[in-house]
Parts: sequence; C-alpha cells; structure tokens
Amino acid sequence: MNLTWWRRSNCRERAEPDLLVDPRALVQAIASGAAIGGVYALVALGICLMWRTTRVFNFAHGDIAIFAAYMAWQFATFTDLPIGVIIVCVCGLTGLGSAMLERVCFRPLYGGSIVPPMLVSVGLYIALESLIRLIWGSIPKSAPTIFGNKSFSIVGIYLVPEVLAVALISIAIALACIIFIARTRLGTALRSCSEDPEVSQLLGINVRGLYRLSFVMAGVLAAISGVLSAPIVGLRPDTGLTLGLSGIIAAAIGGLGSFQGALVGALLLGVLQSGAVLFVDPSFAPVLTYGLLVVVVLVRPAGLFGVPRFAWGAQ
Amino acid sequence: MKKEGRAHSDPELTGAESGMYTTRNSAAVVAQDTSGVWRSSGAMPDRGRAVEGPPVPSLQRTRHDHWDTWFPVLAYLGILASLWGLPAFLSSDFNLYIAVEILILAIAVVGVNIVLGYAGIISFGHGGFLTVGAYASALTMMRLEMSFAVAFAMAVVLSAGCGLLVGLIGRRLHSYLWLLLTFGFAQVVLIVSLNWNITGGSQGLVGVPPPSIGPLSFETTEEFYRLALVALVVCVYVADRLKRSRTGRALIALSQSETVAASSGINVPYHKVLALTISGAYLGVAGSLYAPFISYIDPRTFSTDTTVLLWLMVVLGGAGSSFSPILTLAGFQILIESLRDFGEYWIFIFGVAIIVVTIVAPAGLAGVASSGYRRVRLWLIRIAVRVRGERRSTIERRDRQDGG
Repeated sequence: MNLTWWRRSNCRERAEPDLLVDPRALVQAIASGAAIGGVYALVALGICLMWRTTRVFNFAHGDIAIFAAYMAWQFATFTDLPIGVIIVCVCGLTGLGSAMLERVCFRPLYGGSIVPPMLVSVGLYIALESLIRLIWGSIPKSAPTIFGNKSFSIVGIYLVPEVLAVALISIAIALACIIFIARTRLGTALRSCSEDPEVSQLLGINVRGLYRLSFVMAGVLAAISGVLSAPIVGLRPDTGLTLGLSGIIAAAIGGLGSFQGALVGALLLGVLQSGAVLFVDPSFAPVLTYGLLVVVVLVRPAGLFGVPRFAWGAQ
Repeated sequence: MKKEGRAHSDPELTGAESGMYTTRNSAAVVAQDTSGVWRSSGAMPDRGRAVEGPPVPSLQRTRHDHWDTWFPVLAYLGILASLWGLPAFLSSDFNLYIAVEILILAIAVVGVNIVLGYAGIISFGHGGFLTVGAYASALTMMRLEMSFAVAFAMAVVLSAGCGLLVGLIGRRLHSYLWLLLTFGFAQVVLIVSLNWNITGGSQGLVGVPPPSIGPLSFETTEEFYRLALVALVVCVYVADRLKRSRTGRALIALSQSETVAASSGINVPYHKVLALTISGAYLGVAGSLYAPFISYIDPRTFSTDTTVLLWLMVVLGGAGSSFSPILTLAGFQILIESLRDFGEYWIFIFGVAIIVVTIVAPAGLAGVASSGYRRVRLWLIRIAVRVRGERRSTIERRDRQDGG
C-alpha cells in the first residue's frame, strides 16, 4: 500500500483553505449579503418607482423606512397586537403619510427642474431624522426579532432564520413589484405616465392619481423594508441615511428607472458589503461600495440595466 | 421659475402703472431697482434675467452721475471699516470666536457659490474638500514642521487637486449620478482620515499650532479675526472678478442650459472641471484656516451636515450673488448660537424651513427680499398716483412718450 500518497494528498487538502478563499465563508457572505441586499432592493425599488413616475429623487426614503420601523417598535412595545397586524398598520400609516407628503411637499413642484424636489427631500431627511431623535431619543433601540435569531447550520453554513426569512420575503416582494409593473394594467399605466405624462393624460389615464399611487407604493415599500431591516441592523436615528443611500446607490448601479436593475444592483451591493466585512477590513466597506459605483458609472453611465432616457431624467 | 416680465400680465397692475412699466424693458426695471449696493447678480434665482444682454435703451432718463459710481465703493469701504473695527464692539471673546467661525465658513460659502451659484452644479463633496484642506495644513505644520505659508499653499493645492480629480471622473455625469459620486468622495475622505495612521484616526489631530506669516503671528482670536477677514475679502474679490470674466460668464451660461452653452461654443466638461477645481481651492483656504483656528481637527469636523449647510446658505441666500449667502450664513450662525438651548428642535425647524422655502420662495431669501421691495415700491407708486390725482394725465403722458 502506498500510504505516502494518501497522506500527502490529505495534507494538501487540509492546507488548501488557508491558501484560497474559504468556500464556506464565501457562501456565508453571499447568504447574509442576499438578506441585506433584499432590504436594499425594497428601498431601491421605492426610490426607482418614485423617480421614474414623478421625477422626484428622494433622499428621505431611508428615513421614512426607519420612521416606520420606529412606529412598529412603539406598537410592539406598548400593545399586545400580533406582529402581522402591527406590520399592516404601520404600512397603512406610512402609505398615508407618504400620500400627504406628496400632496404638501412635492405636488407644487411637478413639471419643473429636478433640483427643487431634491432639495425638498433633503429638507425632509433632516426634519425626519431630528423628529426621530426628538420622539425616541438618540439611544439605539433593539427591535424584537420577528422570525427568531437562533442560528442553525446547513452543511457547515451558519444561517439565522431572521436573515434568511428577510432575504426570501424581500426578494419575493421585489419580484412581485416587478411583475406588477411589467404585467398588470395598472403597472402599464404607471409606465406610460412615466414615459409621457401629457399623452397619458390624453389617453384618459389619471396621471395625478398615479403620481399619488406611486408615492403610496413607495411609502409601503419603505415601511416593509424598515420593519424587516430593523432587527438586523438595529434602530438608530442615523440608520435612515445609510439605508437610503444604499438604496440609491443600488438603484444607480442597476440603472435608476429600471426595476430589474434595482434588484440586481441591490443584491450585488449587499453581497459586496458583507464580503468586505468578512474578507477585508469592515470599515472599508463604503469605499468598496463607492468604488463599485464609480466603476459601473464610468463603464455604463446609465447603469447596468438602465435606459439612458429613463436614467438621466428630463433636463 | 417666474419670468421677470411680469408687468404685462400682472392683473394687479392698473393702467397707469403698467403704462409706466411697459415703457421700459423688464430687465431695465430690475437693473434700476437693484442698482446701488445690491447689484442685480442672480445666476440661478431668476433665469429670465441672469445673462447680461446688451444694454436696453430706456425711455426714462438714464441717471449715471458720480454718485452712482462712487456709492458702491464707499459702501464697500464702509462695510469693511466697520467689520475691521467689529472686535472692539463685541462684548465677549465667545462672540468674537463665533464671528471668526462665520468669516471662515463664509470663505467656504463663496467657494460653494462658484460651483452651485455660478455653474449650477450641486455637489455633496464640499465637506470632503474642507477636510482635505484642514488635514493638509495641519499635517504640514505638525508632521513636516513647515511654516503656515507652506501649509496654506499645500492645503489649497491638495483641495484643488481633489476638485480636479472629482471633476475629471464625473465631468460627463448627470444629476443623481454626479451627486452620488461627490457624496462618495466625501465618504472616502472620511474613511481614509479615520483609518490612516498619519491622520490620527478618530481622535483627530490635537494642538495644531497658530499660524504666523513672517513677522506677523495670529495667536489671539482678535488677530485671527483680522486674518480671516483679509482672506475673505480677497476671496470675495477674486470670485467677483471671476464672475465678470469670460470664464464666469461661461459658467453662468452653463447653469442656464448645458445644451445651449455647448451649442454656443462653451466647452462644458472643461468648465465643469474648472469650476470644481477653483471651488476646491476656496474650500482648501477655508479648511486651512479652520484647523489652526480651533487648533484641532478630526474626521467628523466637516460632515455631510456641513456640506448641506453650505449649499443651503447659497440656495437660501440666493445663488450667484456673493453677499446674500454670506449674510444668510451670518444670520443663521447667530441664530444657531442663540438657540443652542433648544437643542434638537432647531434642526427640525431647519429641515422644515428648507422645505417651505423651496416650495414658497424658490429664488431664496434674496429673491423674497427683492420681490418684496418691488411690491412695496408698486404700492408707493399707486398711493402717490391716487393722492396726486393725476392718474389720467399720467397715462396720457406715458402713452405720448411711448408713441415717441
């Protein structure tokens, strides 16, 4: 028996993980990246929908999400309602609030340059963040887990049910949104009024109503993403900006205005960020994020899936 | 944007007044309203009148005497003299401290104004330029032990270089991609200064020495006030000359419409990069003064909030003019300092104020002030016409003048 061959090969096998990237860590990064990427996808879809329909570039989207998450935390702390009811309530409230914001802040600015709505959304971001600080204080709150946070392992990969469920749910919702916009009658109307509001109006489409609808949808998406992400990233007043910016970057990588692009960009961003946390210095994750953005933007300025006409907006 | 030619369509105007106003081109109305100290200078707020066209022949007598020439000069000198003597009148050292802070931030506001006010480019990267400038001057003085003059030059060159870099990468990018790129630049600066061992990490650099140029040293707050004032005056003067130059006019044309600017022979990407480089240099000046002033710099001294504050000062104050953003900044800083006790509330009010001003008065506070001035003037004319009872004859005389 030639045992030396067996021994040598066995040794080499054991040595291999030190030389290459550990495949288990890679899968781990992809799994947890997909979860946070799914949350980003919901944020990115909301931003994308709002931009494509109304040409409002919303910086405050992440803060709306975190505000909804705080509301859910408040409900969960002070009432005994089941979590499903709370989520539905919060989604409804945020949708309502978003419709009111549309009426008060953005409707007077439709049809002009894209800069004033952008300014309004920056003001909204500042106001919402300080409102959160005023109501709930700056101390981080720990949001209760929805799906349980006891990790289990499948073939050596550790997964938290919370993370897995968030990934699956948010990707499912994102896909449902994409199908809604691409396949249904209402979605077609939304796309047509993003392409040419005047002609859509002539064809009998209620353009103002659809603007409001897109705001409500974006608000509900924000609420869902806030409630889902809160147990993973924690509830802090400044998470809003991080969440919103990640959504914006994801949407820009995918091509703002393309919904598939938003999903792909968000997943890419999530995997890149969790990969950076696992393999490189965690504090350099934002550098990698913006590096990816710069590379994509220099190679394809309209984004990965973007159509230049939608991506750049009316000048 | 509202056009200035309102006289033709404003239903409030009676026959007499509209007769008075239609004799002149609307641009001439604005020019006369604002002649004096507040020269009409809006690049962004009122697109109808921003580019100075050929002089409009006016049927009114053109008054151009020595007073018109010398009044602005005297006014500037008066303002300068009173600013120079201001430290004697400020009651406490803390007030003087705030005054210096306002002066240094005013330099930054002038720099932001070049990009945002003249060329109409919004950028989130200005906090990054400030940080680069502050660190460059602090590190040159502390680690290399050079003099303040070298540190100052270093800060200006490095900040301008950063502006050049960002401009070169993003010169062909549109709206939100450009915003993201500039924001990314600020984030990268933050992360590098947090994690690089030379910059002292999150503790920052403590004990930045006070500046001295040759025999002059600026150690007390009052001396620093003078230094900052001189720097600000030079900066405002250069920015003003720039605005009147060929390059400045090209930048203003850029803010109106890039397509039109390009079709009339302006190299759009080149001018964007140029504006960003110059603005970077200005913010380098501000940063290199700020670090020795507070004798301390850390990565979070200039955050996104600073950037937003700077460009809101420009937007609220009325983009394109040098003075109203500085006045807005001064008022705002004083307001903040006096409202410190309210803590978080003023940030909330600030956010709401941004929303309200953007919706209600897109031309900024200067626009509100000038339109208010015009409205008051109109009332006065109306009252005068009523009182003197020469409404009918006025109309007839104007008509005769119109007819030639």
